[in-house]
Amino acid sequence: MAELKLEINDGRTTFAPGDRVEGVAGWQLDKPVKSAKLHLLWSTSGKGTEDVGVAETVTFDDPPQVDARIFAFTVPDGPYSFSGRLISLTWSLELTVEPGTHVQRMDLVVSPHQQEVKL
Amino acid sequence: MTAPRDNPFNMQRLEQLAFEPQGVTWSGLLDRLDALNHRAAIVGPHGSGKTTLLLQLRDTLEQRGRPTALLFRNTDGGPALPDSWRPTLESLDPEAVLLIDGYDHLSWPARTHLRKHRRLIVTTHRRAMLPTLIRTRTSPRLLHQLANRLQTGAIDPHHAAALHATHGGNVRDALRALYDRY
Repeated sequence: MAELKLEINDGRTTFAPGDRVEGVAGWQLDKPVKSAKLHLLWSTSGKGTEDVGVAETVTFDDPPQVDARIFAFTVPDGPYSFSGRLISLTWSLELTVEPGTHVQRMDLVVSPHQQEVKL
Repeated sequence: MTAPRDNPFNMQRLEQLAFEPQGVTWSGLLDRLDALNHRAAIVGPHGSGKTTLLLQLRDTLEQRGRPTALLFRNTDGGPALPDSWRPTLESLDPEAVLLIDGYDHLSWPARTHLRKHRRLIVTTHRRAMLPTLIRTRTSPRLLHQLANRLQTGAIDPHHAAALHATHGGNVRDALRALYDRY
């Protein structure tokens, strides 16, 4: 069994470029942890194949089986979160813990207008 | 209009659909794979679930502790193996199962070279010089079942039959076409 947790300070999920995303990433595994990483990334979804861009990654050193670490990212200038007819672009925080494929994901909105851009 | 990320027929959701064995059980398929010593071909037309099945077999083998390596080819190439494959092939554990998607896009010398590997599972549109694990096939009933798994009430049996015919039995393309309805 594995339990992963992501929390952002103030429960905020909408950010403008240049804002800080700060919070806590936690995990609890029943076996020794090989690696624990947190990615700030965007991905597309829709009619075509998925595209992904990783803006920043934090690797948590010497992760024990149970832990919670503080993280902080600076939101890049773009791309903005958007939805059109064929594609949505979504920003996310993604915590990945190995061994196994344990993933916890939290979607964010990155936009100067406090909401995703509608095309 | 539904946002693309929420469209029930977006690519991500299609890729999460599990393979539906037709006329054979999943355990029967795995028993046959064992009996063939992990040396087999998945044969079928475009959009009939070959790649989906190959990916599920990869996951199942990994869960059983069997190492695997997966390589893709979706266009015809020259006589040699793709250069990008060499690092994988050169470091391959002899006990690993080598999984090749798009085997029939490879040249005859390349296929001959790959068949030297002890455990080899491939997808191909036509018979290969390997035992056939399964012939994948589709039907309007399968299309109806998959579409309604993605979105309850998405299509009725008559629509499924028409869509299946329009796309020449290619279920992947038929499901992708449903994207535009949402």
